[in-house]
Amino acid sequence: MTEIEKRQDRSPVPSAFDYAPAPESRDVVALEDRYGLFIGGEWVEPKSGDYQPTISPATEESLAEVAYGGPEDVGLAVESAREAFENGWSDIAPSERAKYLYRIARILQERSREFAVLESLDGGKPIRESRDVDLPLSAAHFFYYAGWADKLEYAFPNRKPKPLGVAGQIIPWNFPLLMLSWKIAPALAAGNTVVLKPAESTPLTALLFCDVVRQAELPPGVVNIVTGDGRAGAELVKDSRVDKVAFTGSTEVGKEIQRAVAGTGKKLTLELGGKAANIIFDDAPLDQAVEGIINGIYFNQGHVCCAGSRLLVQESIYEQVIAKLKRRMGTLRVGDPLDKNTDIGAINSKQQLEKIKELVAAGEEEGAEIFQPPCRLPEKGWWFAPTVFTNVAQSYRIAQEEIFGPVLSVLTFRTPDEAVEKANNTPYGLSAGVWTEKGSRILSMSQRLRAGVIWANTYNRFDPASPFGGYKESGFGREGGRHGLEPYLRFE
Amino acid sequence: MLEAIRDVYEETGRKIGMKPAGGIRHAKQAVQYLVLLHETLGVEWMTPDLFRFGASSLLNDCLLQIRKEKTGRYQSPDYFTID
Repeated sequence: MTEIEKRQDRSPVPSAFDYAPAPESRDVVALEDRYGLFIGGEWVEPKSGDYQPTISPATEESLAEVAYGGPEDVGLAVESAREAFENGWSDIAPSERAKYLYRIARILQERSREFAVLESLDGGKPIRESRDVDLPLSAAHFFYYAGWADKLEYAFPNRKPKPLGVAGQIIPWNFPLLMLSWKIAPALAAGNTVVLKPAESTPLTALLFCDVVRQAELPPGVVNIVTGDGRAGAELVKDSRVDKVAFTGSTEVGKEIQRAVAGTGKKLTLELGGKAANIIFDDAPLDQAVEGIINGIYFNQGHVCCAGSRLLVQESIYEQVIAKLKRRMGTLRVGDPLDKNTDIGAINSKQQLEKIKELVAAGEEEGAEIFQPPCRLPEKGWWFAPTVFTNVAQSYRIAQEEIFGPVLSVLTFRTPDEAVEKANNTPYGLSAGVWTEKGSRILSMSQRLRAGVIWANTYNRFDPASPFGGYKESGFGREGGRHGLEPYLRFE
Repeated sequence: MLEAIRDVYEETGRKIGMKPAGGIRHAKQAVQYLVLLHETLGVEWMTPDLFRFGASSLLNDCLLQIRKEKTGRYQSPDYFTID
């Protein structure tokens, strides 16, 4: 053995390979101490006089005070939207409307870093996701619907599409800016004006969006933002001058809204919860499938209505998939949402954390086997380690109820028929994933699964051109694509 | 390829090394490969016995970066034969 070979023989294995923190700078965001309501293109004090702090879930610090609009405030916002609709917005040339939307899209792109940092600060989602998913998709939505604004006649030939009037929109806290874009872009493209209520725990990007609205010189009153809690939302739904209600959020609230608009003639779309099945067949490429499983359930801490929260694995590859999955989970980094290396950020609110804990406890009690990779959670803030349950029966709460957290339940199946039956055995029907090498199997599964969105060999992939929405208790109506315009139009 | 190495190790217990070559010219790209290696196979593989770069121009960029770390200034690429 030569001298060099001897030395190589002894070459040491490092004890660890740690990554230095790579936090994104907070300095790009300038927050006010206090935010009012954005009505008629102006910041106004709420008549209710009520302000509440909005809290960063990663540090529990208060970021700013935000107005909580009351009935009077909501009324003013609807009035201003109605006025903007009657006096101008519905009459301007559609190509002009398109210009405004293009302008908003470009400004969002230009200011994307600022928005991404703020989204992560206020909502707790990893900066990697807000930077690479939320912001590009938000801008893409405005670009996409800007294109439709002057082509409505071609989208719906011979049906004479006309705008509805005022759209009242209520959005959730899991993708605050993206959901805002999903709502506002098609509404404006169709010629409506909007009153939007952001979620109470994540209002800041919507408030920063008001700045974009001003920068784009949108006529006052076309976009109104009223922050507040469920009471403001209920007022907005109730208001008789609202022609269309769009809601994304929990099934429970969705049912209430449906009751409230019953008999009023208001148009309604609901995008509610889900308990999606992610189905892995034995001919799937396993390493890619494991990445898909991880992306399906741990994306945005599992705060995704279409999250692949039920994993259905064919029995012949069960052991292998679980081993690979557990190893992959060990490499997930939980921590500071602003760190570019973080995979899983903070749980959005304390209530949500309590709900996740309750359901996980129920899972353990019912007899499922729990696995969590060893990981240190930060002391301050709200966190939950990535979790997987095996030995799950279909009747367990963790297999039936939407957890909306980083918790995966694993079931097995033997035949495609059994997979379909188990996947459809849920009150929801929003999304599903199929992993297989066979194209024919993908097609047959997609016809038999009762879900609005089916991903093949991928998961959680979004595009503004593709309609998104659910079956059964996951709601009705579609957002995105040409289908997303329809709920904002009336036809003669 | 790293995943294939992992599969072989799991089935047979044999540790196979990897030597990527071609197109790796900068220290930054090398770090990306090291992260890939670490994420897929873990620290056990992070030894010259099991992982090497077969990229000659990488050496010069590494030397340049090391000098920068030491002095705080970038030297002229001429000293390190970087094209």
